[in-house]
Amino acid sequence: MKDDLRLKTHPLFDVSPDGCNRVTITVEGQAVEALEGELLAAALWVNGFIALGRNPADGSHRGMYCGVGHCYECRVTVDGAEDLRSCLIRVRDGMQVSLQKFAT
Amino acid sequence: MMQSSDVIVIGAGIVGSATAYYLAKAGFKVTLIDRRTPLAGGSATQACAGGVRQQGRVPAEIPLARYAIKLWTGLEAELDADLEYRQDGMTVVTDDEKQIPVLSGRVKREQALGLDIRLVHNAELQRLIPGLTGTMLAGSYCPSDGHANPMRTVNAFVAAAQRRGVRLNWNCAAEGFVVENNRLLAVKTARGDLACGAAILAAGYWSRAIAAAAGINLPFRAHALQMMVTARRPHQLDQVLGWAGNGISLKQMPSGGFVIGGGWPGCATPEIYHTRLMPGSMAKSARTTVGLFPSLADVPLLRAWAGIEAFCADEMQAVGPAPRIAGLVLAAGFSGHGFAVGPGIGALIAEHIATGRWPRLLEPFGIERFGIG
Repeated sequence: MKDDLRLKTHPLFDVSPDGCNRVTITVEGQAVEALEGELLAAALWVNGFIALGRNPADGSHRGMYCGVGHCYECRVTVDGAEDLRSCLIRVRDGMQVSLQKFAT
Repeated sequence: MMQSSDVIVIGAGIVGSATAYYLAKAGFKVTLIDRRTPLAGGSATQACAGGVRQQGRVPAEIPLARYAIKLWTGLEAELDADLEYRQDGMTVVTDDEKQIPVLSGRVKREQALGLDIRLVHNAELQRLIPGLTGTMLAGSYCPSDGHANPMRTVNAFVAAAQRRGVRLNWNCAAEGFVVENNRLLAVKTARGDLACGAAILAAGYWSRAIAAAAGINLPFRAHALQMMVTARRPHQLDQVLGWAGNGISLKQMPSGGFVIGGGWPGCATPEIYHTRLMPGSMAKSARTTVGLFPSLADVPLLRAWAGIEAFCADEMQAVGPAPRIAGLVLAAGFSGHGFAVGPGIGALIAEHIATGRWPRLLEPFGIERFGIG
């Protein structure tokens, strides 16, 4: 797993990725590696999927903002279900994910 | 510091921004002031549903609405901006047999006032509005009604006003008026007195406190109205939909989101320009929406927000010259239906300032009717 933004240490919790199962999910047709059970929004972020959609007014990038389910900016399509908040979903092996690509 | 303007417009919502624009177009030296900025949180225009309709208004307002729609059809060219204006019609439907004669009576009255509107029934209704729930029996269809984006519209009026030389003065709250011998001399603001020949008070509910400082009691009540918008979906709905007896105004924006209004209440604290959403209102509004347009059942809501609107007891706006203060014109209290007529109000007030005559189309709305002159 490449060097990424995941926490390596935490004063209270064990956040070490050692011993976590590695799973593979598909994002926009591309196989990417994630830690089993981590939040999908985090898995997308560490794999470089930061812009998840575009502002229909000016085309600027939109992506995860609040990380706790309020802002709805991290919506993706998961296994065919549209507009799910990736910050509230845990990664499962084999998950098929596509980003917001609504043509305006 | 005294600055001199022919006219100061107080409040940069739809009414104030349109009035400032048409005044400048008529050649006046105009200053547009706002306590914050256009479309600031809590204000009425930023939480308006964006319907541009003529139908369903009181008879006294229909000629004004028809006049305003004529302006709307040329407004994008006039302001050189995309307002997302769509004149694709509006239909108010019913699934209640007892409501059909009521709807039919309204259609006939509005036809008599010159409106192009008709009653449509079952099969034709389904053909006109794909996606409408199958249980609707009839609807009042007005092809020249439509919708527009309130944020784009206000921003475009402000930009066009500025291009015509209107001075914009934000974060400048009006606090009252300097009046001498029953003649307006200046608007008092938190940042000093601004001298003017005339002033237009278009500050929504907050007009009440400003007018009270000049001894005018505007009988407004504040209500927060809630709006919701769904995730984007492929284009499906051209028209604006209403449902008789159920609070809903449903439309789909060009960007794909369905905008849901209908007057569901939030909590208003106008003293601090604050609104709070009411989850019960959101749930009822969502149920009504799915009842009307079933395919939205699977589409998540993305946002809900509210704005404070001023309501008069008779739900008609207070637009007219202020009693005892020559030069002051009131334009507030639109009671939840000011967006569509806003450009018309602006153009007619500009005409009044230019000619000194009060336009016939605005005669029904003076505050004399409250008996507080």
